[in-house]
Amino acid sequence: MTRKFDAVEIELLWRRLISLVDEAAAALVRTSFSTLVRESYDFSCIVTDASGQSLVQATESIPSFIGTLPETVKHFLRAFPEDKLSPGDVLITNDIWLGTGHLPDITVAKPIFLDGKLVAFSASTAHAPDIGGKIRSPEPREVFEEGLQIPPLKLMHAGRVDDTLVAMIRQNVRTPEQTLGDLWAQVVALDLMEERLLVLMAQAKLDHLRDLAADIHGRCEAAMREAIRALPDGTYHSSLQTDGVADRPVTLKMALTIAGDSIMVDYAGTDGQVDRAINCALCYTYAMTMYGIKVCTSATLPNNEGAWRPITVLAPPGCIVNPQFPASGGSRMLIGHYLPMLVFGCLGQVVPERVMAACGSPMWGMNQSGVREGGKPYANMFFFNGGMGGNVRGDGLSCLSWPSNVSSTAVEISEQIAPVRIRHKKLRQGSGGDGRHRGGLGQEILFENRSPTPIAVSFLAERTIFAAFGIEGGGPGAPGVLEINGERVDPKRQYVLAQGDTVSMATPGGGGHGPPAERDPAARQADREAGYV
Amino acid sequence: MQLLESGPAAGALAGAWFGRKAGLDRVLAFDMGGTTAKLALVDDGEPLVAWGFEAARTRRFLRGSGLPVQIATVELIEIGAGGGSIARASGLGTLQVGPDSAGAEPGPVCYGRGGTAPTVTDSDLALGYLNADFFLGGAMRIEAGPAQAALGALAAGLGIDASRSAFGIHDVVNETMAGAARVAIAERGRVPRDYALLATGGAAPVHAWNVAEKLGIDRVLCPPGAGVGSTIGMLMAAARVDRVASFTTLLAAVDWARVNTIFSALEADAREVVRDTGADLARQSIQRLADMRYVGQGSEITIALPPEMDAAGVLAAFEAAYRRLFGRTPPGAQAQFVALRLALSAPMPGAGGALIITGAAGGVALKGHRPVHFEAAGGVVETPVYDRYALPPGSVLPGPAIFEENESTFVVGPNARITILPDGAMLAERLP
Repeated sequence: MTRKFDAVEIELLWRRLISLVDEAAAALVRTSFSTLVRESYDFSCIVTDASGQSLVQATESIPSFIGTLPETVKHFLRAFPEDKLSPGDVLITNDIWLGTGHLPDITVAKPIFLDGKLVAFSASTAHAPDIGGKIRSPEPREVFEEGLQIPPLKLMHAGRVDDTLVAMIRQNVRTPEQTLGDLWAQVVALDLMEERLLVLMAQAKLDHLRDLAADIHGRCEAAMREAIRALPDGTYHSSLQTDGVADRPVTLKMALTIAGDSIMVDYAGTDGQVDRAINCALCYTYAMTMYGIKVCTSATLPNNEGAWRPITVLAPPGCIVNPQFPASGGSRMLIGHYLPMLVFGCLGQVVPERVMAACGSPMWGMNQSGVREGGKPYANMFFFNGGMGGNVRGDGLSCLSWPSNVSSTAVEISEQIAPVRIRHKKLRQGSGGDGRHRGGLGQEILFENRSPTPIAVSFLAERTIFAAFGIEGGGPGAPGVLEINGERVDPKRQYVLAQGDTVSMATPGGGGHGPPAERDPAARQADREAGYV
Repeated sequence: MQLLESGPAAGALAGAWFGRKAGLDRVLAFDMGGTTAKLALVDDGEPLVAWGFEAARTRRFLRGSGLPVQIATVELIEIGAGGGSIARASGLGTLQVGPDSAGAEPGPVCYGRGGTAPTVTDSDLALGYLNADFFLGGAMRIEAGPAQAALGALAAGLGIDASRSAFGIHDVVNETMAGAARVAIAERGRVPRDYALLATGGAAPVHAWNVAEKLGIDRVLCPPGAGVGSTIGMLMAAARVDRVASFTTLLAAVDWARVNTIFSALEADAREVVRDTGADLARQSIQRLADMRYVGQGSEITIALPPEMDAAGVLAAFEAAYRRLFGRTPPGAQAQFVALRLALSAPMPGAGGALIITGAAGGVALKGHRPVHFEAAGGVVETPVYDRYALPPGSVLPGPAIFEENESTFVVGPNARITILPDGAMLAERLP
């Protein structure tokens, strides 16, 4: 018999669920070893029902994992159906097609049993500081070059750690303490969600989560359909070009069709996959597309499969947003972060007040690895952000991650964990696109290698050719610039820094919104006084 | 910076004092007013201390929106839940309460000052917890009729009946507070049932019984003079000074003589400040603590150091604390110190005193009966209403019962025993 929940009961249960995933996320941050988790919050925690349908995700989860993690749990179930699972098992994978599109994201999930029956999964994805291979850069041609691939496996069998697998991971990564330390921190989060969920189920007299999931999804689906129904039917097109690789730009195309209370997105006409690691696996394409649609339709709606049910995403196999094995994808956000902007290009034609000008995204990053004096290898990724686009309400924000919400790495932390000195990190004057509402500013960072041993560096750096465009008459932001020892370099290649070498990164500014002539003179004066222009 | 958030901190100190007087070692101090609720944990008679604080938040309940200040403060959890919290149907058809508040103007619908959205106070009135004729001791007239109508309209929009919406509001706002308490207690590796709930502030005594039930807490303490709790807390609290020294050193490589030197310097510094307060240094107590983590982590945990400090003993204390918090320790990781902390406290003269409340002795304690909603009793129960001031110490009464005083109303559900303690505090215990 289906259990019904009234307006009070559903609110109580939903709050308890959110509270328990947030508690798990806090425990993950407190016990993690890498700056990716503890400084940049590059992770997610969720609870799903027995079929992998997500009920809740931690409040500070990043948008891509919201879309990918429940799907990964469903893939685990295909590899390990209920009769192959036991209490205390922990499943693991970093497969790029089943996971998030690149190998450093390690997903773990724990089946949760009540009276011998599978009732739920707790699951978490977190970005590992290193996964081996040719450090994260766009250079690898195939996934095999990108590091250790972990197919869906059991990290723990009924509470017992698989020492063989742990030894394999330890041997294949440059940062075993951090990579494994974070993995155990993820297990802490899984255990905590399991413990809290079982208490909640006992108190609420729930012997499964199917009906609760159906209720939550039903409410979210209805709200999303209502929001879509309010938009005019039709097919809307948008396209844009990205820097691509080796002076070959990549063209992305989208046709978005609104029909009644559903939306279909088709990427037909988009360029094919490339022999560089910017291919964007369908799981990530799907997550980024959903995110773009959601912020234009029902931004505050909780994220789960119910909200996504009215939306279909199609991408021809072999195109850069649906690459096929053995495509590489380590830097897939260099394509993926453009996808919500394509959605804005389409939906901006019907709800222009809900979209902003182009952002100085994809986010920027510098990956370093090397061997310290004394022989200990290290690897780390520091993130930097460009400016956001202006919008109807105001100027774009400066140096903020979008569409991801990964935090910029602090100077003090960077200098503490890597042998680098940061000579400056400052707002990039004049980088915001002009307009009634100015684009946000990018930032300038100057690194110096102070290690006597060489550092291999690679970058996430985009919009060095195609600037973030303005909309409604606004001007473009400044394109990004990457220099090594004062010389402009190809951002898609790997470099080796000697002691004293410098890297200068200037992240792109956001585009402006509305005609520059309409900018409030007081705002211009304030910009001058603050040194923004 | 030496003083921050002194008012709410004093409330927690009052909680500690009343808890000690009632013989309760672990107390969850719960204060609830018109717009916010505050929770503070008191362990072994001492409020827990936070080693950092976020001041001047631009969005009151949003972590990260304020300025981080590295100062030792009483650890307080602030929640957007109070008597004025507004109830409404969310966009998803669920009953949402707060965090926005109708405040005092226009206030709850029952105030008759133009408020139209039902609030927590309106639901408390409809449930029979509040007395329309004795609000603020009769100083303010409130109206049940309009409150009922507003609750009815909300209920119709949610597809539930009016009494369900009234109790639903009570239940949802209590869940918000219980949820925050659950997380705070779990973060310390403790369980809620070890605590007694101590209710202060106008609305907390109305909500405490149900909050305690949600947490599995069996004892609720309602001190006298709840409105002046903060003052009592400040008067009775020991003088305390916290000092910290940075000490980033691998545990395996610690020079213990240096640790002792650092602690001696911290102690001398702290003692000078405490001496100036006039506290009784002959009865001082000192805690030696350390912030520790595994090498490579970015967060620390604060542990009490064992009296005899050596690497093995400190590691055992650290790992026990870590395991209590997080369930497991990472294999192969090395422990390190990040900072050494010292807390020196000494009682103030007169702190051993007792509170004497002069009530209307000989007054009639039982004011009458009224219908009151108790979910545990399956609905409305004819419930005795007492004048708190007329109840002599030593009285023992069964629940359900309502105790009225000028500033608040203490609501105790069925299956309970209420004892009036010597200092006038009421202790309600859930019976097995």
